[in-house]
Amino acid sequence: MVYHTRKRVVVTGYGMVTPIGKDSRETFENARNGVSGIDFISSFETEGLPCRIGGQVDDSRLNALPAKGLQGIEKCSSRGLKLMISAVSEAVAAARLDLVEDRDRIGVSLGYHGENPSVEDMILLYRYSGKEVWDVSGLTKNGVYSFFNFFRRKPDVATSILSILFDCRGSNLTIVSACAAGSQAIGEAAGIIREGKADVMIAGGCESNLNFSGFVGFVLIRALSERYSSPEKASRPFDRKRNGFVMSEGAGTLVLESLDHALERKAPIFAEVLGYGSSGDAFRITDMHPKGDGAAFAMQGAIADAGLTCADIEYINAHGTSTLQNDQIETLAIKRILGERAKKIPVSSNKSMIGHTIAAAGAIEAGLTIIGMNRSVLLPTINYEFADPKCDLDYVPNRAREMEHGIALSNSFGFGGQNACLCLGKFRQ
Amino acid sequence: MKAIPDSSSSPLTDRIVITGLGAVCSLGNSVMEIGRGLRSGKSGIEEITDFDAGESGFLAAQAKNPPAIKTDIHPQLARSMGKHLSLLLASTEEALCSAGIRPAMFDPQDMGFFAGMGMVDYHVEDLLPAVLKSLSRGGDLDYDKFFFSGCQEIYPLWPLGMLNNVAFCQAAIHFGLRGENCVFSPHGDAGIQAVAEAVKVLEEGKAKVALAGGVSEEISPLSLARARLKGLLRPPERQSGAGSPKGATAEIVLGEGGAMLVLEPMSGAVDRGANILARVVGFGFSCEKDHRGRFASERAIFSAIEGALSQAELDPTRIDLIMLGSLSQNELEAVRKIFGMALEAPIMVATAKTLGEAFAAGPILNTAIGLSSPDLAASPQDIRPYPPPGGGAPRGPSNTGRVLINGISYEGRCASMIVEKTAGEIK
Repeated sequence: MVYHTRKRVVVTGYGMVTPIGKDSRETFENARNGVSGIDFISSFETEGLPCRIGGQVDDSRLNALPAKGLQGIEKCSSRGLKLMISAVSEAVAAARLDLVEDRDRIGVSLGYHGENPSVEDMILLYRYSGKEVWDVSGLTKNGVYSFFNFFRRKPDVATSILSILFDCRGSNLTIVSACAAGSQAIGEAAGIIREGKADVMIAGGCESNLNFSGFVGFVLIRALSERYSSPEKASRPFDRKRNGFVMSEGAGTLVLESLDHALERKAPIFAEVLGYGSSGDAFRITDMHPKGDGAAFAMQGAIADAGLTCADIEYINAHGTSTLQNDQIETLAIKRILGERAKKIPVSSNKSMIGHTIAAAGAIEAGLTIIGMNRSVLLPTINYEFADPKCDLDYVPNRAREMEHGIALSNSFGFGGQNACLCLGKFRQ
Repeated sequence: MKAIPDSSSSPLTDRIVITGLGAVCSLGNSVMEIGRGLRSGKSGIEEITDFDAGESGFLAAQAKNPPAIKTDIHPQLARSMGKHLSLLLASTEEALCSAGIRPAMFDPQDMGFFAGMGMVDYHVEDLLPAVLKSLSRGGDLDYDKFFFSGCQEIYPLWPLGMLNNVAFCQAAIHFGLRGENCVFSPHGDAGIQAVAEAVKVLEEGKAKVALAGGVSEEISPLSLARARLKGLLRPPERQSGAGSPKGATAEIVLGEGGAMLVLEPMSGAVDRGANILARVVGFGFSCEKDHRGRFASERAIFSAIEGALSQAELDPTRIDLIMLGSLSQNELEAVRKIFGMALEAPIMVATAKTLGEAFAAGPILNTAIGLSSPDLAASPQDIRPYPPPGGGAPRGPSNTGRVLINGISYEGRCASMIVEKTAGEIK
């Protein structure tokens, strides 16, 4: 096997749509001002549920599907994919990707889990299984059950549609690692470029779980915040009164490119992907490793992959979900990695404003980290009011901070125990 | 905590080898059993027995009795993960065993884990109690009842069990795999993507050993409906009318399976005296749907194969065996374009004829079969449905040293992998 010298991977575009912004500029400005995107959910009936809040994206923030004579695709498009199309549109425009001629060398790497079945879906299916036996013949007849329902549930359909809409014929992968999926999609894409298998990768994640079946599982395992004075106060990472995460929807995209390719076509360069690490907790399906082993291994892996040491890290964009367990264990893991320096390194959680966008989170947070590095701004952790003795780092409480920083980690720790960490750097020739 | 490795010393030129294989499918619960079944002309395609398919007449290649691996997983959660979990556990256990890897032989952090995981669907018994408790007198759903009380009947982890990565994480817990990992989904290309990622991680020195493979969908009413409505399955009456199961002529027949490879750097494998079965020498990937929107286009498949040959620095004449990833004409045409001019034709095998479409497990099953069966050239014609691309006689059984394995998705994606057999024997 022929392996070439590892190529440098740079970020030439980014895009996002979140509960606090229709694009990356608006999201960043609102995050800088500590604006919360959390409110009562209107997308489905939440009466009777112990958690009734979430971070919704206003439909007016979604771009219409690109007008390429492919309107039929809309039927196959889940809400998560629609969010992603908006984010990718922004990112490829910033990267001027339409000018790249060799489309075989452009790939797509997406973290996504497909659309959840609706309650109506469940009922329809119930009718074909009413006597505890499925009516397979009925179910497989055309016109009984829409194929588009299946289509929207398949995670790879979204990746495939993105490749059609944005004319990307290179490597194409869909990653389904829960909350780590967005970061893993970026890490895997960077690896593909490093190996020389693609010049450009559109990488990121999307999620839209604000529907009954997407939501109820997290309600039933009591992972969501149930005690809050107002919706915007519910997501409070690292605060002593935190009591669960807030589910949100959104999408984030980076355009990754080999440095040579970007320089040759004079593309804008916003940052460099310096390293990527992943790990497995291999502990319990619903709990993190109590000593933070998996989280620490992922951070350690990303730093090593970047050829750096812990002393080089200047900021950490935390996974920071606002659950009792995550925030305490992430703090512990950061201390294990940074040692004495841990208390001097700013750590903040974008989820305090955006909520938890699951597969999109890693990509949105990577984008915000890059903008922050380029503007010398650390985004705040809002709703930080009551110090938790077990969470004793500098969480950039409540107000954004101006600070020059050039190397950052972005953490994502997935349900089930899959962890990912990206090491991002300000671009330096 | 381990010391941070010096990334500059990553052995980027180290060759990665396969030292273990594991597989479960309709023909058996081990690589050997599956190989024997294939050579004896058995077909795994039969009438559906795992659930009541009524009068539908659909055939499938179901993994009938995957080995039960004892775990600590709550039975209800295990049930919601269905065969995904058992296929993954069984194939992983066999692979580890065949590689001679025992617990504690490696630091768990040095053990990578990568898999392509097929779609996860509902089990009706998980939903029925909630629905039945929420019906109005007229038999329709009463939403108030559903939200207030019906939903409480749903097992809390049921919705999470539908995430493709949950069975993967359970397997990681069971085997104590804590190194680099990733889950790809859900078709044939995903299995090869998992192996490619494992190879990359090993090349970069981020793990000392990696497990990489794939698991199919579980065959269920919903998976049948999905394939039927996509146009991949013929109408049941035409499928059942094909006569004996073995003679089924559907465009595809769904199959179940799980397959896993153990990969290591050559140096590490030699150091520990592992049985080296093959080297992994190249990968290629592409994406483009054909005009019907059902398969990867011929152009995309051509590009993936060409990519794998290029990375392996091989010309087509050096390939001895092609494990086809589909029964599609596009793949056949792409193969003919690349290999058609070869003086000696490689043997071509399409196990989907016998094992069904095993999605993410397919290419890994095929890798295990290609590496473990020395005499595929003499295997029954059922799995060698096409004339050799060059029109000449296929090469003899002694020359199946380099194997090209294709993995094709139904959404346009395709992947190719080339492995080179060594003298090691399957244990």
